[in-house]
Amino acid sequence: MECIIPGTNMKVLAKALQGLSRVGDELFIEAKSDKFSLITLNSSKTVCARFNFFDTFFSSYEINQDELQSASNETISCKVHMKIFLPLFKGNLEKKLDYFKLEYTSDNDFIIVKMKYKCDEIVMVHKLRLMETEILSIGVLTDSGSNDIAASSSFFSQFLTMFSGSDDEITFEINKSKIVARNYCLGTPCRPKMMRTQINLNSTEFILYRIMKNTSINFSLKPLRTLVHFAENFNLSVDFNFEVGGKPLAMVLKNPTFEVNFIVATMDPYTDSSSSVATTSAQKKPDNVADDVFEDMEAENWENNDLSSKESSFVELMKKAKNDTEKENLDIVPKSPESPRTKKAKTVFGRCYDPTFHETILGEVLAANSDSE
Amino acid sequence: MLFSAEISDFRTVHNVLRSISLKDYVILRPTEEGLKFTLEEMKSVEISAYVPRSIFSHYRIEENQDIVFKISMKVLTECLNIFGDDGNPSVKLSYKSIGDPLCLIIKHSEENITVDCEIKTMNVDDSPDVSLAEECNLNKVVVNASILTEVLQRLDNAAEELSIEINPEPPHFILTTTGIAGESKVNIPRHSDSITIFQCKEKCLWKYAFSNVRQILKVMNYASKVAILQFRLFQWETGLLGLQLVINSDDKQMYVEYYVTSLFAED
Repeated sequence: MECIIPGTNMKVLAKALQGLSRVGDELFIEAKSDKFSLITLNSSKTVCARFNFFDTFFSSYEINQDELQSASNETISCKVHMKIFLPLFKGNLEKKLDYFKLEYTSDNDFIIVKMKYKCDEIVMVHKLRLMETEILSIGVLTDSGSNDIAASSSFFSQFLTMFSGSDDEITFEINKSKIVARNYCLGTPCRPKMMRTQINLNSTEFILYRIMKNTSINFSLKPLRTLVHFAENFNLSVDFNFEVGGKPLAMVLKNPTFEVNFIVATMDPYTDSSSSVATTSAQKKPDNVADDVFEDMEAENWENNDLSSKESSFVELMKKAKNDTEKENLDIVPKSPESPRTKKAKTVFGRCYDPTFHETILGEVLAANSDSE
Repeated sequence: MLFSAEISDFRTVHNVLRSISLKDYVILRPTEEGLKFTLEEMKSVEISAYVPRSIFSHYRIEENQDIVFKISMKVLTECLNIFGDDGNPSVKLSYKSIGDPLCLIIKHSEENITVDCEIKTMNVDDSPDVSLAEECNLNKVVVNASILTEVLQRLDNAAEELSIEINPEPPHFILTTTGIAGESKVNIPRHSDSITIFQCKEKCLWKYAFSNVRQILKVMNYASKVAILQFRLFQWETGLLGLQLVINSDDKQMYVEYYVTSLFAED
């Protein structure tokens, strides 16, 4: 596979990689006969970010048909660590380079990158070490949901400024006339030092507003921020395609030469009251659950009929989280009257005197502590 | 008074000193031609900033004296930075006699503020003022600084080693880095606009620790031209790399020289 990206498109590629690096650490490179994709997953596998470049994006796109036929799923793929690939794109490459060329043959340990500078026709060649190839196919269709809303990137950018950097999640309550966006869930206790934000968005503020099913949907703000930041650079409008809370949501950017989609896991916050805590717990216990859901990273897990397995895994998480948080609830200060500071401090530091590990987490004690401490 | 000098706009000198301030101590050597600042690491790396007499608005040095002393680099740069990025202060240096502190008088350009500093000086054990540039010069390539900086920064992908190859036959000038990411290589054609001087006596390929070269990249950003010199030091049989940077300050020039020993010599 050999493809050449003209210098003028380097800004798109560089910004794409910056966005991808904010989501995951491993970059999947997939080349098909008509498109080239850069994909990454976050550590808890709840976000899949994908940049698809069509052959019109390249000044030259050559792919060996025999190699394609013999490759699995008619895709030539390889995996590279983000830390190895990203540094090549620092600075304003679109001003310095004539072109950027990628060369890869299936089953090679290296991918070759050739950068041709405008200045003196200097050519720099990088031979980058690849990671073990993994086949990745996330088959969520980006237009499978019955609900569709779209707005300009500047609209979403302004919308995001209303939330603080420490807000992790957002809940949209959507009906045919408006969306109520909140950074908290109705009915949950108020976390100290948290500012609650509610924004009402009228359907008329959107470029596209087609809601077939009313729903409440809760998802992470981080991938949305990353996507909107990318979209702003190129003035692209952001489209949300989704079904209901609990099923994946696709954030899509369209352009003649490339397309971006971020697929994020969502929840319906009103099926379980401790949902907001559960989401953060999900981050703490990523691999165990994620492995069950993403066995071999096959497509089925994402399709509609298997989502029940994903929903149930979230439910399992919520149950586990509930048990863990029961202890923590003791530390939450009741709203009124406000506890005097010393009492609060004792409650907070009281846990220092508890043993560090409990049998339930560690399992059977193989060797008891030698000291009494 | 052994030495006194005044510089009315020391922005460039300050920037350069700030970007080479990697070591604890700096050796100052005022000479007839100008003021030299030298930093050294374990006899394998040496950086010198050379401020010619022409940059100073006033420069007075006692004749036939070999003046050399050592001060804390951190204290020096902190004193020079006392006004931060505000305005364009002027600096007056004076060194009365051996063992005396170095006096700095820093005047703010707009406000009527003067800062008086006295920095303790120390003796220097042994540091012959050898200008390596004149010795055993094998190969010399003078390159445009902006392209060299860009190339070196792009070659740096967690790089561990840098090899510089200079050949009388094409390809003439090859830079290669190796590290955990893999390998990166660039060939700069001899007759390109970026190379102003190319002198090659014999083929040399030597390797250097990239961490040493990384140190100099910060200063290279201020330079207009870089001379890459390859030396063979016969008595030690190691290859020595010299980088001479020319830095423009208004219409005057100052220099930074950087010497690093190679990892092993190869012909």
